[in-house]
Parts: sequence; C-alpha cells; structure tokens
Amino acid sequence: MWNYEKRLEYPINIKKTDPTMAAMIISQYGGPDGELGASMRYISQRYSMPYREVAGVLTDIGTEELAHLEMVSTMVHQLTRNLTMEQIKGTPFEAYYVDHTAAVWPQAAGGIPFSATEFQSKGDPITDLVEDMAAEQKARTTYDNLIRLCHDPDVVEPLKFLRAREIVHFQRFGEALRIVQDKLDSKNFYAFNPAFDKGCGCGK
Amino acid sequence: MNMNNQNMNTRRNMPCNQNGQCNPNTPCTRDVPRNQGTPCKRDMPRNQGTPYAQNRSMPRQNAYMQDMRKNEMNTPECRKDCDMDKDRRPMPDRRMLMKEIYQLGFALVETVLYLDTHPADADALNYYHQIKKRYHMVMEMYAKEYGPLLNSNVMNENYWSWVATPMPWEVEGC
Repeated sequence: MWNYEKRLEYPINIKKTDPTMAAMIISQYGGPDGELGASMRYISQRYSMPYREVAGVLTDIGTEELAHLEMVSTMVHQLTRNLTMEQIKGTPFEAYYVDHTAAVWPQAAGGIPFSATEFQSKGDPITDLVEDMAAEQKARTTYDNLIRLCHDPDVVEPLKFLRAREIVHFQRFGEALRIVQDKLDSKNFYAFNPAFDKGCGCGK
Repeated sequence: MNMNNQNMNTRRNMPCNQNGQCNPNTPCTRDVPRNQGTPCKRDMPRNQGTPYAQNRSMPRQNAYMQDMRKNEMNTPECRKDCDMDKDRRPMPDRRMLMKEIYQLGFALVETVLYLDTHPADADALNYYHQIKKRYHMVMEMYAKEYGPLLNSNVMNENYWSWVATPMPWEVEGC
C-alpha cells in the first residue's frame, strides 16, 4: 500500500512557460506509452505472478511509475502557469484549454483520452513480462522524441532522467523474465501457465 | 569546513550571555542565531548535556557569576563543559539537505529495484544498508528543521504543517 514522501523523484523548476511543449509532454501522462499506463499495467499484472521476486519488481517499478506520472504532470502544470490568451491561441494547447483550462487531465498529445485498452494484463508471466519490456522501450522512444522537440534545459533535464529510468526498467524486466524461465522446463517454456495451471509446482 | 570552525571559535570566545545574568531559561547568546534561541546545552539538564557545574550542590548561578567576574572574556569552565560544538553544529542549508535527500532517496530506489531481481547479492545488500542509515538520518534532520516529508512524521504539535509547506509541483516546492 502507498505512502509517499512530499517531494518529486527528481527536482523540476521550469521558469519559462511553453503551452505547445505541455501539449506534447502530456502524452507521457495519459498517452498510449505514458507513465499512467505503465503504472496501471505493472500494478495490475503483479497479482498473477507466481514468484515473489517478480511480483516485487512489478510493485516497485509500478510505484516508481506513479512518481514519474507526478513528474510529468508537474511539468505540464509548470509549463502552463499564468498564460495569457495570446499565448494559448494558435498553439496545439488551444483545444485542450477549451476542455480543461490549465488543469491536468490524462490524454495523449493527439487528444485521445487515457484508457485501459492502452495496456494489457494477460495473466501469463512470460506474456506479461515481454509486454512490459516492450512498454519500457516505447516509453523510451517517446522520451527520445520529446527531447528532440525541446530546447529548454529546465525541461530537458527531467526528460533525460525519465528516459534513463525507462532503460533501467527494461533491464529489470529482462531479469524478471529470466527468473521465470529458470523456474520453468528449459525444454519447453510454454508447457503450462505457471500463473494458472493447477499443480504446476510454482514457488509461491 | 574551515569557515564554520572559525565561526565556532569566535563564538566560544564571546562573552557568554547577558553580563553574568546567566539564566538557564534564556538562550545562550553565543549560540547560532539560526537555532532560534535554542538554549545552550550546558544549561538544560533535560538535554543530558554535560552539567555546567560539576558540583551539583553548588548553586549554578553563583558559580557562573564568580567565573564571569574572574574573566569577562574567557570563562574556562564554559569551554571545558560546553559540548556545544558537538551538539549544536550549524544546520546545513535547506537546499543542500534536500539535494542529499534526492540523491540518497534515488540511490535507495535504484538499489531496491536491483535487489528485487538479485536478492542474494551481498555487495548490493551492504550498499543498501549503508544508504538506508544515512537516508533516515538526513530525513530526520530535514523534518526537525524545515518541515515534514512524511505524514507519519509531522513534528509540529500546534499546527498541521503537512498542509502548510509548498506542494512539490509548486515552483517554490522541492
């Protein structure tokens, strides 16, 4: 269960507003490869992991993703402080402003609202972990794209931190997959689903 | 740090307190002003500091006033008993403390993730325990001096300061 420290995972102090950039960065909050999806994916999948190391890593990374979605929301909030109408008109932020003013709401940069269809929790450890590794790479690519769009160091530094974290998470999920495979029949990993099939001898 | 040591020596040589009217309840003026007048440890038996007068039967104030008359500038007994240096080190700057919390907190997060998939790694376990100790210490220091970081450790007993300090997403926040 969740307690929290009253601080961000990485300090964010954006001095110059930029609603266009905010409209792009919001994809890492509510977009298809964003932190909200990542967090919900890992926290949902953990229940059907029959090995505690794997359930542990999913819970801990899922928690860190919550910290990341807080960072992304903070960036959107700081980029859209005290805007005048002239700063909003004609930018990609204009349509979002109509529905949300300067609030934070989970959607993709293209406007698609966040939905559970943006992640899967399939109930098979190998399937889920491979999905998780792909998710981390998708997030990394999204951060690559955002960093290319942005030139303000106050914005780029937190984005670079978040991008590096995605690569580390990818590594951890790879290790979790190896742990699952080690516990399965090396001649056939797909002989049964250790999360579901009875009498599988899973180490819970 | 050299500058801090110099300050300490200067303070120690300053006349202790208000012209010999040493009152245990009045903050020792040689103390760091930033400590908001926390009484000098010598005078507070509660703080388990070295008692100012080794001979408890002798009234404290008299002993002190005799010393003051002897030598206005340097009270020998003052220097001998005062564990001020050890107990009242100047509190680090809030930003520096916060920076250390960020660094230690992140080291912890990273180590926890690594240990989740390498639970028997002895080096990682040692590293975790080192970081954990320092992290808790620094968190406690920050909470005592600057404000709560955990709602399970709010120190203010007169006001719920949890909702009084800036939120992390505010520009003045962490």
